[in-house]
Amino acid sequence: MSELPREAEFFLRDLERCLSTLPEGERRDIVAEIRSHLVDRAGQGATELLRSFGTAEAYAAAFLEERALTRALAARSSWGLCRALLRGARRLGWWYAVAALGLVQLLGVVLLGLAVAKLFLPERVGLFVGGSSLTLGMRDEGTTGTEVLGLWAVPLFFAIGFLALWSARFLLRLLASWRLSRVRPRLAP
Amino acid sequence: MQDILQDVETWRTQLRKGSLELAVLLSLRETPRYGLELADRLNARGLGVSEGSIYPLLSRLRNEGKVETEWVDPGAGHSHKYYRLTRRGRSSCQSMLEAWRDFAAALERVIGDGE
Repeated sequence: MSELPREAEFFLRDLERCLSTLPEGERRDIVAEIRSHLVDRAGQGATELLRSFGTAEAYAAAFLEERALTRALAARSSWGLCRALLRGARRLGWWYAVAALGLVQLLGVVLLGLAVAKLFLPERVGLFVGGSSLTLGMRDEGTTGTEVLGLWAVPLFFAIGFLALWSARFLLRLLASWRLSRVRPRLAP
Repeated sequence: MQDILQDVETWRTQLRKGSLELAVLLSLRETPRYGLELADRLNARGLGVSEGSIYPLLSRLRNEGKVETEWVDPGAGHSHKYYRLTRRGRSSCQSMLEAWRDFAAALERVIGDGE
């Protein structure tokens, strides 16, 4: 195989390192293909071999992020969606958005748990009003306050919990689909 | 005026971006090709493909089962990774082509309304 300029060799070495999370066969296949491309171009006398590839890190991200998002969308896993979205997040806003949706999911899980707990510990779980405070959740025995929801807490917590889980997952999928449309290979202007 | 030109350029880029997958699938309909060959072919037809962008796209098409690959050693020179349409890729290409033709025809009618 023809020799490449040092900068191209460095690029290929860095690309392989940045693709380290891929299976070895796939990683080597990608690097071999890019090498083949660069050797062809070098053979044609091209000088700016790497101009359309950018940095190795950004170029690797085009393979990794898309793959992670596609798989997470197909797997329908909220955790996978969060991980895939955070993998390519370079702006703080993305972290905030994913963290907020993660918290909404957590709230959903907690509410579902409270709905189940209400069936077994009706006096200790619910919405408690005492003095000027309002407490939602589970309280210790002996603390003051009146539980105001009664057994209505069960369907209410179930409904809000499911709604929180569903809406957070829906928004995560929406974000992932939008992100996917942004990271898919672009054409040069 | 500068703003308008920039907006149009951004819009043009989005058009290219949205049609790259169809362009690649169409280019593979008749014969298997390798990445550089595809990029050169599309650029020769004025699409303005960024060479580096073709490989992540081809990688996705392979993961989606629309193309299959084979390394071919021509004997002289070095090997190339050839992409060939699968049945799924051919079907996807046909559906995308029909959608594109419908869209282009609708837009042409709208353009005709204004003339």
